[in-house]
Amino acid sequence: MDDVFEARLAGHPVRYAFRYPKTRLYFRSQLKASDGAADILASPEDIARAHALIPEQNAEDYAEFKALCALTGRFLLRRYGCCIFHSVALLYRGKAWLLTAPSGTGKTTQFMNWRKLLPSEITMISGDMPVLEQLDGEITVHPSPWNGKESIGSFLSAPLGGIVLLEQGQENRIEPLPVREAIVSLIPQFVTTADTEAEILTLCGLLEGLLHKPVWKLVNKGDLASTELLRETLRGGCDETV
Amino acid sequence: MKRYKAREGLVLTQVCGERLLVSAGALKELCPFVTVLNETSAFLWEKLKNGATAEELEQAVAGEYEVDDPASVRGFIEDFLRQMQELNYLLTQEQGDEHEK
Repeated sequence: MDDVFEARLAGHPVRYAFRYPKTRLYFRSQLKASDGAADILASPEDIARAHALIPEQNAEDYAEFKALCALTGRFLLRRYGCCIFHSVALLYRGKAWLLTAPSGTGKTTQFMNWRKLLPSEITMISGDMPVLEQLDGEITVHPSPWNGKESIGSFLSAPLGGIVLLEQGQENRIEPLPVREAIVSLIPQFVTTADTEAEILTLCGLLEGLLHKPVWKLVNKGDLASTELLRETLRGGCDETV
Repeated sequence: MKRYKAREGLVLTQVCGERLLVSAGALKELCPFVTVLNETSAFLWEKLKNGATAEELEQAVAGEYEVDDPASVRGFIEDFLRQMQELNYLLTQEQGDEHEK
């Protein structure tokens, strides 16, 4: 438990200590040993809370890995003004596009569909929890170790192109999301707790940065036609945001 | 007479021109994380930071929005206070009673 390992998130160092040695394997090759003190160590209560939210057969080390995501979101906001945003982050035409929705709403399905249609056209930046950083009003989307159950991610970062809120439906339809609806829909997707007024203002600054980009709602059946519709929309979005 | 006061740890801010009331820290467990307020509700919220009675809020709105008869905004104030209480944003205190609820 005393060993400390450092990861880089959005280019910033984050030092972890682990209660379970196997937990660090989930970070794959993204960790290196560190001499510094740990920034983050999940408490047994943090791990128990995370365990309650995942299938029971998962081991304690996986629960610790999940708990570290929430703790990292809080740490990144406090220390670096960055935030983890629950979404699938795709790289398409040089921009990052965030597909967001509650878990199980088909974010990864859209990625898989797109890979079926045109395998080389897109790359996954993060399969579940990209890190957003705002510099000079522009948001950059970075990968993180938390890539969802399919565990698809990369080491690529890209400027934000836009956001798509997914909603399951009986038809395929995409439309711009009004600002008020976008605020209410997007803010729960930030993986953090803002404890102070300063942290809330940082979070709201990030939210404002997101809302300066196109935000759509895609009501969809999860079929290939819905992905074609998404692709057409993002292609138009690329032309607008170049 | 009942006095209403905003809970500590709620931050009123603006995003893209929309006024947001955001819960800090553990307050998220008690209240919604974010609620969007209109201009008048945001004005009233500022008055509640230091505590106010419904009558004081009526007077404040009447003064701010040049309403001749403060009683004419009573229904609006009552609705606002009820909604804020339902969202668990307010503490109340009977005047003369020092215990907040």
